[in-house]
Amino acid sequence: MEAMSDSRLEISVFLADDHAVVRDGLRLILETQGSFSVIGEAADGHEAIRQICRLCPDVAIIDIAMPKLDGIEVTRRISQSCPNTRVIILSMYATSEHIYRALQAGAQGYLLKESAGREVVEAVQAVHAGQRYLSRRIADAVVEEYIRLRQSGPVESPLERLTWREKEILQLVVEGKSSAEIAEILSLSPKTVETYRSRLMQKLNIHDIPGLVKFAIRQGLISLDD
Amino acid sequence: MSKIYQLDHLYQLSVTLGNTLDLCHEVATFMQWLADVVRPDMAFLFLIDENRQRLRLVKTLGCEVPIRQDVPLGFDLWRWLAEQGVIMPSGERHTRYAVPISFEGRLYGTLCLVSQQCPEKLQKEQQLVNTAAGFLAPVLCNIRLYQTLERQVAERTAALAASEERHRRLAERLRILREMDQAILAARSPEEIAEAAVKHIRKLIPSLGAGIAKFDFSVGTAILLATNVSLRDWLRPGLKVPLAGVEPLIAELRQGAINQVDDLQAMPSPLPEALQLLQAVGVRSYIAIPLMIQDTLMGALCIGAQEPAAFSEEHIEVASEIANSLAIALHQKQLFQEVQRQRRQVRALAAQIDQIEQAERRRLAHELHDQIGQNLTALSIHLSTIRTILSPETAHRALPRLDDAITLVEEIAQRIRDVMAELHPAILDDYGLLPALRWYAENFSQRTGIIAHVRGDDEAPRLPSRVETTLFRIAQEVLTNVAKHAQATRVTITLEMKGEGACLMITDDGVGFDPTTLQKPEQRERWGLRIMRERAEAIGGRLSIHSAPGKGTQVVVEIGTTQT
Repeated sequence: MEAMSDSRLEISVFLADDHAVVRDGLRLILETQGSFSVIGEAADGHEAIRQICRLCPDVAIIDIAMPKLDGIEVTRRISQSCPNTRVIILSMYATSEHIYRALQAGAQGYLLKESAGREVVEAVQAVHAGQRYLSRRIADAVVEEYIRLRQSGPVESPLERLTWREKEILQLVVEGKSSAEIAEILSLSPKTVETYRSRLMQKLNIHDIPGLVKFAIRQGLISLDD
Repeated sequence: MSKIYQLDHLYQLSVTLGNTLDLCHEVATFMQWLADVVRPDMAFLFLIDENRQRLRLVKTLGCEVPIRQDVPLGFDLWRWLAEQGVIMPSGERHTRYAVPISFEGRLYGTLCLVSQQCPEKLQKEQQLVNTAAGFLAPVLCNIRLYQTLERQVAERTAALAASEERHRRLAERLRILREMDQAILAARSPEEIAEAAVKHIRKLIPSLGAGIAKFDFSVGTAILLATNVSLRDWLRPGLKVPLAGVEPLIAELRQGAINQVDDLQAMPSPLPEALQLLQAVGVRSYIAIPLMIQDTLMGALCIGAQEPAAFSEEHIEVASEIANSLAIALHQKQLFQEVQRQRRQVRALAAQIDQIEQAERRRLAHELHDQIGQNLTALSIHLSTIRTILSPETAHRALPRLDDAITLVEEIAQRIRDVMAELHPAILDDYGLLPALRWYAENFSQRTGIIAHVRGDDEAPRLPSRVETTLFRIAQEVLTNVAKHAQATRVTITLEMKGEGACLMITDDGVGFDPTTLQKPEQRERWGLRIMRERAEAIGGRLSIHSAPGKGTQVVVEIGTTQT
């Protein structure tokens, strides 16, 4: 299996998947194309790492969910110990979390299993050429998500960090009530009110009353007309 | 004796008599006058006693012999005097006469005189004595009235004092009973109820101590719920006492009757074991009051004393009152505990069903992934393989169909992926709650247009899988509510780790609502609140909802630091 690495035209590929059918199928598709040679296979994560480190293939196609060691971890280790090998993750999952974790671990490609037969050639060529490759269905979703995020603008209002009670107390503090008065209004002990107050100030990273008042005006909790 | 002299003395008598309310003094004044002015041989003053049964001889003149002091009313006084040898049976030289002492038609006494006056003078003397007696009578009447009044005042004062004492005791009893009832109300278990009662009994009934037992007729024992501290060496709570030998006593109690024994020592030995125990702690007399629930005997309150026959009617009355409160409280607590137990059972069952459902969902999702998913992958690859090896002659006819088939497989896979995520998102198992929430929030935003944002610490340690699943399900439910009811534009999901516990907080900027409306069951159902609460409680958590009209809504689930 090591003979073909002489030819610079052929791209050497390693397949790691616990299902033989998948490995066989992908091997057949790739080898039929003529410009790829599958130089090794593995059915679990440990075997995959050992073989890949030994063979240093151009591209490794790794199943995300494998026995013993999952595909993400395999990818992470390969990208450290064998940086010349480009990794394509093979997965049933299409969540951005799965994709993000794969890419973060060092994968260049993310291939949905059901599209693997159709896209594997294109994917291997792309990552070998130094590009990223995401299955078409995923690419669409990722772009949509990106657009949506850009449209939604600044994501969080600092007020949302506060609990209901903290918000109530903030409102009363900026209305000029003392801790004792707030305690009276909310039927709490003044000490509890103090605790809430210091916690909300910490959460908002504001450390004096004028700062709180400014913040409250900005957030529309109080208006200057009152 | 001159008439002037007599009149003067009569006048003197009239002004002297009645100056005091002292009977002896008044009588003495009168008799002195009699001795000075009338000078009879003998005189005997009898006064009717208060009961008007007898005459009492209160004063004599000229009588040297000892003489009895009283005589039945209506008795012939002369005969009575003669029988005692005071006077001759019938006097020849003696003239004797009796003067009644009466006022306003009421007789107060009789004055008997023996005189030596000649008949012609006697009439005058009698007149004089009559007049003087007329002075004495109202004085006696007055003194009698006064004495009666004085006695009444004394009696009433005593009665008042007695009733005050009774009231004080009654008030004290009520106070202690109330205190006991309050303690019973605050008690959390039958044992605590019994304990509260036992503590108060000695304040109400002087005794060695009290014990409260619950009967278990199926095994023929009484189980002690509580006893006084001083008895605990022998009679500790939880002790099982056989009822063998005391069946007649139980039969009495069953009828609602109180069992009272005045002296255990007087009972035929050997005593049944239950009574031997009482004797062992030093009890001689006891009362046992049945604790009845709807005519069924469930136990007894037993109070023992070191002295024989220590219990009065009043003690029994108080003890019955206590037993009454006890029986009601024990019944109520028993029902409450039963309801609680059933509720716990139902809740545990619901939690179990929920857990089974979650496990089943997870199993199905894995099954879909491992079987269907893999097969679809294989199918897709096979189709692609066929595509690459088609001969050019057949390719033009087969290719479009093959491509359709591959697309179909991809669509099925996508559909399976959605179903899998719905059943049990793999991301939850693979990467934990926070990534799962993030993923769900993305989907939610795409679906609803509400901006959902997830905050949390990615580096925080994972929670137990069951907790993660539960919190995820609650978040899903809350977000569904936000989409349905809140009219919100943004929602923030915050996951904070606190020690071993966690806090999930979901805040929206929607229309909010009045949280008091959640008291209505149909509102709670609308929000799926009951299920969310029970899910939270099943993992040892607490769910709270904060909202106000126009101020958005915040749902908080807190998982304790010790529970998982």
